[in-house]
Amino acid sequence: MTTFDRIRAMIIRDFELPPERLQRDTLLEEIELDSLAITELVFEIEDEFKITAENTIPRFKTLGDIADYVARLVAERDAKPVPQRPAAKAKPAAKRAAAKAKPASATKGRAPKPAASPGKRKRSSARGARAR
Amino acid sequence: MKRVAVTGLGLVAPGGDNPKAFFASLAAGRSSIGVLDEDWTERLGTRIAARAPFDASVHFKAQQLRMLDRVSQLGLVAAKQAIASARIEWTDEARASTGVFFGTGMGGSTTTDEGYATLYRDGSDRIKPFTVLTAMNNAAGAWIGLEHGLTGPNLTYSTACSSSAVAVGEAWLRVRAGAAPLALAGGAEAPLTLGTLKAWEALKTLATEDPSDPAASCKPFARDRTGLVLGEGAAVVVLEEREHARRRGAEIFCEIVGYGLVTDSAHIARPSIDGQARAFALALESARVAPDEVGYINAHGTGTAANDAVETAAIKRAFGAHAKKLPVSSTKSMHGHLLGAAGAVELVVTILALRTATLPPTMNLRVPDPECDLDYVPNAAREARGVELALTSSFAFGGTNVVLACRRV
Repeated sequence: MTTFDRIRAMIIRDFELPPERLQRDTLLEEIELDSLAITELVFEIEDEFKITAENTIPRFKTLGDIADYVARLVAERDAKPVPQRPAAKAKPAAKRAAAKAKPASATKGRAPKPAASPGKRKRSSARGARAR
Repeated sequence: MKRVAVTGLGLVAPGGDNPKAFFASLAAGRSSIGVLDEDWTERLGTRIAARAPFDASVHFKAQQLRMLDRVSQLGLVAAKQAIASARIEWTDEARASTGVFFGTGMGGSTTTDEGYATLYRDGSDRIKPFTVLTAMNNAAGAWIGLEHGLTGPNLTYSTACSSSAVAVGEAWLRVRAGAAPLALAGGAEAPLTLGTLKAWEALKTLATEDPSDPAASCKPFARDRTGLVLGEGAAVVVLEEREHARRRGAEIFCEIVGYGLVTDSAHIARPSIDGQARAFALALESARVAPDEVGYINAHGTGTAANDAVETAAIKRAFGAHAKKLPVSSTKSMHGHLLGAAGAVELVVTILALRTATLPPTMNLRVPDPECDLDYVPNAAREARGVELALTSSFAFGGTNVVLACRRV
């Protein structure tokens, strides 16, 4: 599945648009995807492709522009050298966490995180049980 | 000065998804207060609240809902009803001059709550992209303006529990001054979220659940009252210059004839006899009526120890000897406290009380309080032929006290 196909599938799912109207050269204004809709789409794309969009989203004209943009970000992400010694890099974060005396994760990074782990959820409901 | 009529009513509130059904429920003495049963309510000390009968999916597509907090959903539906009941045929000119005057205390609190849960509970940085647009206090008013293409002033008032009463009052001033023949005014509140309920719980103002009947937990003016019950909902009225309404043959539900707005600047939370009494007096003065012309007050009557005694004293001070003969009821005993929406919701109650000559009761008033010794229309509705003038009061944290005066037509 190409980047475009994946984005296309997301638009079909989230914006309930007919697939035949979604081609690479489809103008965004033709399918009424305004700047807010694009913001929403990019948010979903970030999760789907595990990327972080730039602070300012470019002014896309076509669906193909979005796909090209996402492909570039994915390529940039993949091109980034993997840190040789991740343990050393995580040290300052671990120190900060220790200073706060919190048992929370010491590996908070920029990468998107999944929703709360079941463990975390459990802890909050246990707190609730005590409150009652 | 122009005379100002109410020509449209819209409402979704605990007890009814339209004004007529809602008022019928109140007149029957039915409480819509119950025990919340969602999983997240397990952490609440008090789980009683008043839910509005409202299914958003009936009114909005999934795509729209992503941009609408519950407070906006409720507001939009109430506004749509109000416009439909006023039978307004929009022209470009009418759209250009018509404003939206809206009140909410907590704004998009579901969105705010969800945002914080994502950030702090889940430890995720993935806040929804529309969080700002959905949570902002003026979202509901703005969406109403957008949906109907209204380009007059679009103003949101946030004065806690008097927000929508202020909104109606300020819209009334504009229509009365001849600034525009039409205005939409009202408010919405959707505070039934964990964060908001917990915050109110911490303030120690919420009612304790009545062990024998949770629906009877809110007991305004009774000696065994323990506090207020939060509710959700919205109400919107169409205010219209009376001659404009007559020319187009519109049905007139009542006239709004007075607006008393007073800030007591006494205490951030404690009610003030002086502030409330002055709001009543100012409403009478602006309506140019004598105290003994008033035939009914829909009270703020929250069910807290402080408010109900203070409001009783304020009514005595403002109405003198007439206070003892003046029916006063708190319908919050049945629909709960809708905070920023309360003023508009209770204005609709007051208007329908005048129109149907039925005074809705204060329910759960079994144990009299020596400090609350007025006629509170206890426990059963009362027929009230001949009531021409009625008031509704809304008093708020922050000290903004509002009384609106309605005249039967």
